[in-house]
Amino acid sequence: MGRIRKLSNLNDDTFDDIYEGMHPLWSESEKCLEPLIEVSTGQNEITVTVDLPCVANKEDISLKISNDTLEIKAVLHHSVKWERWGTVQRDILFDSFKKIIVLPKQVDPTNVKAKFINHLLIINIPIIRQKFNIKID
Amino acid sequence: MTDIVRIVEDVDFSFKEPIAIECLPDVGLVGSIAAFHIIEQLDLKEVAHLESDQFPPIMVLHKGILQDPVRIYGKENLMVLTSEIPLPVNTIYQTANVLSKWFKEKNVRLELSISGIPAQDRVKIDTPKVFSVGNGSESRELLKKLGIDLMEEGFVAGFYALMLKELAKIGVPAAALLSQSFLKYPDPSAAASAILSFNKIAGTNVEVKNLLEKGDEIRMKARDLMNQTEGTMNDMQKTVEQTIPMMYR
Repeated sequence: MGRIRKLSNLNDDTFDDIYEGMHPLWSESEKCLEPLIEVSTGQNEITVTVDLPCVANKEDISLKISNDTLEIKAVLHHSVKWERWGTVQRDILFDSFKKIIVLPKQVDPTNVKAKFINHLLIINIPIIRQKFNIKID
Repeated sequence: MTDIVRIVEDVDFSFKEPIAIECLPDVGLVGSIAAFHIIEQLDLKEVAHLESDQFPPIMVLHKGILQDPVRIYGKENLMVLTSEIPLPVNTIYQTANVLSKWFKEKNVRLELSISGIPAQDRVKIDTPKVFSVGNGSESRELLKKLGIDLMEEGFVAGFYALMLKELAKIGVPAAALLSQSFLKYPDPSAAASAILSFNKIAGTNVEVKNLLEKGDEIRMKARDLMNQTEGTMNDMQKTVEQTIPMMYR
């Protein structure tokens, strides 16, 4: 099972997997596309990158974070429709990206940094580390 | 042993010592994007397809016509292997073996695999560099002569690594063109760099301006194939390409 698949957790059931490795990256009900993401966990922070083609400016992106989830929404600079593709898909005008990621560690949501370069969103999220002294007998 | 992978020729076509390019889905879909662009620009026609009982039961529709997902396009002096699905890992050894023999039978004078090599700071790179790997002295000399940066030490992994090996065994010169790329995001700009190197070798003039202009659109359309390819990249040990061989001196 791919990491992206494991982390996919959109609210809409439409995004449920159809079969291994080929879950649809779009939602009919929300008229949104699911972006490709990469999540890497370092010692002190989690880095999430999100590929956002057709998103023009950082102002078109909204990010919401809790202790263990990150929600990304981004508006496309023009809606897209693939008129010869599939069955119901051919009629959908997609206007945004949306993704909810379950983070692999508990994070500090108050100290997150994000930048948007060449249609790539990079988010650095500090991991909460609680330290306890251990008494040596 | 019966071959589990078969090459089915769709038309009776005669090649004249062609260059064959292998562009299966891999890092950044560099090969796939390059293949679709080359096929379109040079108006290549489908000449053959690959079949296997071990491939997933998938066919693809284009303009209402049912097609096999793994296809070979060509003209007299060029053939292009591409696929709209990632090949299952359990089929790649035999695919490489069958394909190499078929290339030899068709008098292929040089095989080129087009792929990506992950660059950690890819987002900061405007024009990706292309590195190359030759499978013998003939291809290495050619790459050197054309000024395409040769990789001297390191691991190569995936289908193209097998093709280099299989073709070396039967005396067909081959090389891999590896463009600096995102690992898991479709990378049209990396494909453009690889095409420019391909032009140098094949003497073609495939322009890339259009490819770069349509970059965003390609990245949108290639998301699903990239998503499917991620799983096979893990199976093919692609991360080993970032490691240092112990015998390096």
